[in-house]
Amino acid sequence: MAVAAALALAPRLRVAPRDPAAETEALLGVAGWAAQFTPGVALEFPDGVLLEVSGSLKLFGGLESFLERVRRELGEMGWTAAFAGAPTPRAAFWLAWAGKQKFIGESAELEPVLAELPVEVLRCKDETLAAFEAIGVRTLGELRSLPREGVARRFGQEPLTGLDRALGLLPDPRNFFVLPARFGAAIGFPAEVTQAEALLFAARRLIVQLAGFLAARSGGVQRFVLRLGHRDKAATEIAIGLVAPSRDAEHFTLLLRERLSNFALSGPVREISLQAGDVVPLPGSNLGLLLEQGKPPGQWEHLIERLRSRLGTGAVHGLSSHAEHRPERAIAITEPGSRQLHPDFGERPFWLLERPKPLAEVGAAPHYQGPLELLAGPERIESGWWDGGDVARDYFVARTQNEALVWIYREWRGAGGWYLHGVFA
Amino acid sequence: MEFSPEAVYSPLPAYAELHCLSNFTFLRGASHPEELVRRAAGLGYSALALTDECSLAGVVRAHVAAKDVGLPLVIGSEIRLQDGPRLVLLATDREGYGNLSELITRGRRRTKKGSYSLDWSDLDSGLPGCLALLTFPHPLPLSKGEGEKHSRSVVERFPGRAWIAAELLQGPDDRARLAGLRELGKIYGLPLAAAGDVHMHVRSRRPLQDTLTAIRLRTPVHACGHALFPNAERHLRLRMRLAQIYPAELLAETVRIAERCRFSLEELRYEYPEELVPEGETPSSHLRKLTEEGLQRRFPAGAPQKIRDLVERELSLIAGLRYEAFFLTVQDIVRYARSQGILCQGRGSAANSAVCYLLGITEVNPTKQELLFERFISKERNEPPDIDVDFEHQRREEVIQYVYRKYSRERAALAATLITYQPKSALRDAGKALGLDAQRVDRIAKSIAWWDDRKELASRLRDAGFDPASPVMQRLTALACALLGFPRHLSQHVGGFVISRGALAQLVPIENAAMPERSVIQWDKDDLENLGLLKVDVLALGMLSAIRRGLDFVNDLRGNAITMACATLCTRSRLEIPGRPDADTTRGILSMSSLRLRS
Repeated sequence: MAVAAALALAPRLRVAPRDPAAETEALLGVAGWAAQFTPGVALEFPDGVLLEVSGSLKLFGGLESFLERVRRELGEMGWTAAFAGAPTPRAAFWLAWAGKQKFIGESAELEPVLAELPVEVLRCKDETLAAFEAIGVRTLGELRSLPREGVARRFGQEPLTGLDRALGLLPDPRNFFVLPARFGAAIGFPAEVTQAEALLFAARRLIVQLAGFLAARSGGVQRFVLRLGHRDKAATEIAIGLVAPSRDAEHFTLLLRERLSNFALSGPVREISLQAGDVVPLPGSNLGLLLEQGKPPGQWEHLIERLRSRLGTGAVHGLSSHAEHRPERAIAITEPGSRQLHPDFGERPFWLLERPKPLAEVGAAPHYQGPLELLAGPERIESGWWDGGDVARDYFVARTQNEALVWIYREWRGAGGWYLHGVFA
Repeated sequence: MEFSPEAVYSPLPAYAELHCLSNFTFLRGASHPEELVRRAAGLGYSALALTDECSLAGVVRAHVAAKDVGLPLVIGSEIRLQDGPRLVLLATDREGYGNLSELITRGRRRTKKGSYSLDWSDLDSGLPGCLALLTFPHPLPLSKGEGEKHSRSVVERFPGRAWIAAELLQGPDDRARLAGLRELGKIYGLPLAAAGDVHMHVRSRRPLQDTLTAIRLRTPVHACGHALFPNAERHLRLRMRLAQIYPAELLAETVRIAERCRFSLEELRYEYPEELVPEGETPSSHLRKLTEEGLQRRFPAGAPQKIRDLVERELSLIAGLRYEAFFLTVQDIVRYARSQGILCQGRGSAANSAVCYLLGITEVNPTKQELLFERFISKERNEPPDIDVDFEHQRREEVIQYVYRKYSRERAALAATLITYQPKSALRDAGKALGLDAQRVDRIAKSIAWWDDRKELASRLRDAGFDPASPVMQRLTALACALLGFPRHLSQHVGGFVISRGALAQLVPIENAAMPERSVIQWDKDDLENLGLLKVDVLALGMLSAIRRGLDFVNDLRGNAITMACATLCTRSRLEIPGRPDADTTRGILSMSSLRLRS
């Protein structure tokens, strides 16, 4: 149909030139996502993806739930698709292409079904199609009923070979799609986007694709970058780091939403792309395939990621306990989640003053914002002679007049005296 | 009105420390038993229990020191059960001591040298004569069920003889700890008693104690983390401090427990094997009989009066000290060796006696020697007689196996030799504990052959290219000096056997030696001497093997029989073998003497 004719039928139609490169990109992206279901993924250019699924249907709970999932995720990526299944890849593709939502399990049932398909599925040259039309051949069944030698002479071997392959009479080897090492995908917008929130919707498509890709690789990523392409300035990059490797699309989306929610766009966005870091093997990933999603990480990990998304990476730290009796050396700042706190930490505040604060003494009793009430102690710490930092202190938990709980100690070395070392939260 | 200090100052509470490890709990305890005893006495403790971990190796030293300062010493042991807590077991009487010693033996014999394995089932008999203190780790176990399980287990096995050791060591929350222990005690009817989990006699041993931990864990001290104690409270604390920390009744309870432990090592009586004396004879009459047979054999023409007088004097001395069985034991071993054609020769102070000559233990004819038997064995000195018997080194094992066969492994074991830190090993281990790299430590240890004291060490370090004033070297020097002489492990004595009438393990714990088929007791020769216990030395002498070959050779050549008896007779006047130049034979004798001096 000509553009003019189309516009005549639908005056509000928006016309965009076809972009074969983008179509191929999209097809590759879908293939990468589809690799999570089976290692047997083949491309049928320009618009088909073939999956060899007979071996893996059971894993996904049978054909129905498998189709349900494939349809949903494709939808999330922004695609609509026609599905069909058959014992041969060509037959499956033809059925899909013809819009027949059929799933044929037995080769014997193939012939009558294929016979009803229009000859267009052969994707022959236009002249050939015209010639078929001229002799009144509209379906594959009608084509097959013609004498083979005649057809071959007139239209070449191609239509017959195609038919034989679809029927399983001839082998039809395919090259399986090979996953790239790293993930990268892009979406161009028909119109420039100015709202950061709105980007999330598009980004979500890429995230689903990423999750499929990671499932296919039995891995996860700990970092991915959303790149915003502008018309006439350098791209903006939004990097998202995770506490632990993941391939959970919901989790990725959540993190990206947090970041985008208070993100000021430096300009209108024409396209977005998603790049992921190195894929690391994810433990239990095989099990994760069987379940709807991988096992969700602990709530606190999400909290840390959300806090970091809001406040910036440098503003959120982890505390880890170091096996040391001297309190100031017993806690170290670390990457969140990288180390565990010692469980029997006792009654100590996690938050210690960088430098213990000398306390006033009134009649040998320590004062901090007035007199202190000693609640527990003394806990004696004598340790550290080996590095010249030997301490000898008696620690007490004390209550200030403002009802705050503080951790103070009496120093037995040097000049002695009382010090405030920490505050209980 | 007169000033009375007692009226002004409330008197310090009486206290007995019931949980105390010495450095005989290798690489845990940081003080010698003597130091602990003297410090406890100095602090006015009512008693001190030495409770080394599954060991009684340090008790004799503690006993000697305690007798010296007049401190009541309680004998006990800390036992870590495989399936339970650490218990402190204290001996109340001889029976309890014997049972404790047997328990330790059982735990030690099960495993390889240096370790032990005991569990609740080993205590099912209740260990009569012993008291038990149940200890808890620091901090208390998180699971309450564990504490209750342990309390129940200890009450079942030690009814009326068990306590909870309240060890308050200035931890994070001593008040809560005490409350928790009290609650447990109330539920299970276990009284609480104060205890200190003592690892050192004074607070200042903390660096050394940390170092021992580091050596034990084979980890530099800075990386030991929570394996180190958080403070130095595990020392013998001032009673004034204890009064501040513990409720009075918990301190008073310690004294009551100590008073129940009346056992003293003085009570140990060594009893010689019975089988050496035929029925109807006493050890004394039997020894006399054997001696008289010796007179017949040695002096077929009749013994000179001088010898008869000497024998009478010696026999009455031996009888006075009740050493007959000792001489009989040695005689029996020598008789066996002779019967197997194994060359042997007695020596040592008591060996130079007419009785030994007549029993065939030595070949020194008392008529030809100036003998001073009494110089070495006398009533006044109250020291055990010393008879070492050398055997051909290649055949000594036969004699050892004879001893084991005759008395069984339950009744005979080798004495221990205490291996202690020497300058090199002290430097090496201290250096490793400080985190110095192995090569550097080795360089220091190798360059310093020996040192007398700290000052000497400093100058040796300087010679070796290290700066003794640097903090690391200062620490190294101080630690190595403190470590010097610390026990490291028990090894087996070269051949000193202890043989008893009943089960030896009732007298002293027996453990496995590094050599298979050997077992050693936990006391060394000094300990045995201090308790007046006798050992029989079955030693190996390479020279005897050489002489054996020499005699065989000469006898072959000459066609007649020279024996050891002939050779020894000549030692004074020079051994002369006809037809040989004098110089050669003289060298042979010198060589023999020098070996003797060495061993």
